[in-house]
Amino acid sequence: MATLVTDNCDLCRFTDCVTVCPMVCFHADDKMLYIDPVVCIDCGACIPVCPVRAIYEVKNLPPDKHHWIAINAERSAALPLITDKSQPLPGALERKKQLGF
Amino acid sequence: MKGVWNKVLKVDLTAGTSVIERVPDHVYEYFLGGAGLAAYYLWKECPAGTTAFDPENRLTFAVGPLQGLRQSGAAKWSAAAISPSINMNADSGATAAFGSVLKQAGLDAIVMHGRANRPVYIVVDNDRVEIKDASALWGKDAYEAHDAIRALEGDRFEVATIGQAGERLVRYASIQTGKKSFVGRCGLGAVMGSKNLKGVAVTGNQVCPLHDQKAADKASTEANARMVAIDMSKPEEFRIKRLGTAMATALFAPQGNLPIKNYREADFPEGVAKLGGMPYVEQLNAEPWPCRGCVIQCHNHVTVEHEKYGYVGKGPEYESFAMMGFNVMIDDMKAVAYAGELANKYCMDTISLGGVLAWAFESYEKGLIGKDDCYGLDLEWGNADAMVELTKKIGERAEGLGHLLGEGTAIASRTLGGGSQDWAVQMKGQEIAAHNWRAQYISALNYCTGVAAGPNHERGNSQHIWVGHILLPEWGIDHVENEERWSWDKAADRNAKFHDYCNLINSAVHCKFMEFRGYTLTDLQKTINAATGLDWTMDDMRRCGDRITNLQKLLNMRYGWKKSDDFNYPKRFMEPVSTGPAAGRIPLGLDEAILDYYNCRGWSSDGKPTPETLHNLGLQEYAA
Repeated sequence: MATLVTDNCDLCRFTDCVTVCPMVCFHADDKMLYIDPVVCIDCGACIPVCPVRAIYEVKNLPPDKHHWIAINAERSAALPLITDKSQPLPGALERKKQLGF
Repeated sequence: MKGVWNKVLKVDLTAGTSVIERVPDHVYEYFLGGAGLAAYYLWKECPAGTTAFDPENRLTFAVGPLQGLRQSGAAKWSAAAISPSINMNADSGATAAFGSVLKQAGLDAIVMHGRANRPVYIVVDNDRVEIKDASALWGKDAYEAHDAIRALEGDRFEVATIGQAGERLVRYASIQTGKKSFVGRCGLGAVMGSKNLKGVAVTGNQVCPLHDQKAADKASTEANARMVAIDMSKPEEFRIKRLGTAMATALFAPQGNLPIKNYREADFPEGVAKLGGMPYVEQLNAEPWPCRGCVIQCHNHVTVEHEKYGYVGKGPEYESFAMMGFNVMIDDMKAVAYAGELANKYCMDTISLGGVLAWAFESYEKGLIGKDDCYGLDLEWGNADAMVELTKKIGERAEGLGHLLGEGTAIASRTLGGGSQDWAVQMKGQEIAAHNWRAQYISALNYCTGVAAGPNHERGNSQHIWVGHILLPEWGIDHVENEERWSWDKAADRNAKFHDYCNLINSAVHCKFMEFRGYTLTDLQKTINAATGLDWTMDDMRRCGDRITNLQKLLNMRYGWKKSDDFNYPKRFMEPVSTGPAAGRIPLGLDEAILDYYNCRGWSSDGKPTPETLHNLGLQEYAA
């Protein structure tokens, strides 16, 4: 079990979650974040701070998002850690609005 | 020393100026940070004769070596000043994210004194400090002010604000941060109000160098993972992450620990069934609402649907719904939650408020307060609507009873007379929290002898030995029997250790709730040493806590503490209840236990540290 990032993060990358994670388990590419399921302790501290509700516990994952389990595992293993908050991607606020938040 | 900045921001609100003061290492080696550092500043800058609303009172927001670590519980911060309820030095704490961000601003503390000539708020952005006009925010509730300051300054700021109660000097006014966490006890919000200070906003991006970053990370991740695993191993109805402090009802009811009908009775089955546990989660649609980096997640965010009591916001803690529910015989969870959130917005301590409400309800029952005195409200036990309305009157300090109740039960009962001091469940001017002395006598001893914040369940939490099965094996408390809850044997030593433990952890600064899920003194030792390089043994840790306790006692003495204060405890707890788990139990022998505690601490029979004790702790110069 772990917590994971899904498609709403794509092209947003607000990174509020990074500042609250007690385990340092977020990794990033130039589009979004991913959680390392080996390091994540499933505390869920990141879930309520995501402005676009991209983060789920596996047990609450909608059926159409199950493929994100494998994506988080694969991408986090290949990408560098992100340890501090950074600027959201250009257009993130617009995308947030499109997503209904 | 690593893990601290050696920097304190001092703000003079009268002059509208600020200055950075360098703090030498030896201050941290003595008092560590947080509550200890705040006590040091009171000692240094606030002479005898200073009172709570005196502009010279120092209000300190302080962090310690743990802030900035990715350790659950390390977003905490301490606040301290001379309190308007107990009229002595007092510290209290809150979390959310303010503590972490204050540290990121490159500061160990903000020490505020003076009185602004108009309402203001303070902005700290790394090295930039501004005192800004808050006239437009005066009169707004604490959440509105919080949102307004963030709208003006940006949402990268963490903000602490007061509500109308602080502005109007309610003696138990609190300070909120993040709309979820409160500097609750001892009326420090009224100290802010007396300074015309509506809020403090902080942000920063500095990282404080640690002695051994890898060791600090290791200590943090081990503790974080262990705490999550322990919580997840519990049945759902005993998971902190699921229920928060609302699970306390199920733990406390079988112990006789609940405050029922102004601590007069022991039976309230309807209340026990409805206030707390899974009914709390289901009725309030509660979800975890973590402070920064917290894996325990005791706070709840709620969405309450109700014609009169509907709201979205913070769910009440155990202390809130116990004192405003059980204590006034109200079993309507939604009404109690709503009243608690009202109190949060006015920014009043819900523990004291609950004690005040119960005193008013009992005074009404006994005919000392009539309907005409209380705005036509019927203060009959269990009347939720009346409790909600009276909460508003107190928050607004409405003329008459609302104003009087804002003074707290000590002053209100002296004013009302008629024997009402007999059911004023307070001592030293502060109402007693929701742990029943009849259920474990050590609570009585803790409250009578506490020096950090008067009678206080979190500044000497020895009740946790029984209510939470918390021991301190590293300091020799490694086994207790249930029957010992009604024994004075070993109580003095245990109580002294828990006082020192609280001072150590409040100075580190860390959230004490972590201990409920396996966080130990050993974890704290590893973390302090990794952060600071102090290389403390367990004895050194105790010595630090002991030293802070003694400094606080010296401050108590400076601001007017008398030995008789410790013995003037609430009469109510000496009246037994006839039913329930604590039937017939009253803390007889308490006077002797207090004297035993003095002796155990190395204090004279007058309750004052002896010269030898001060010498052993290196505190000789602080006695002056």
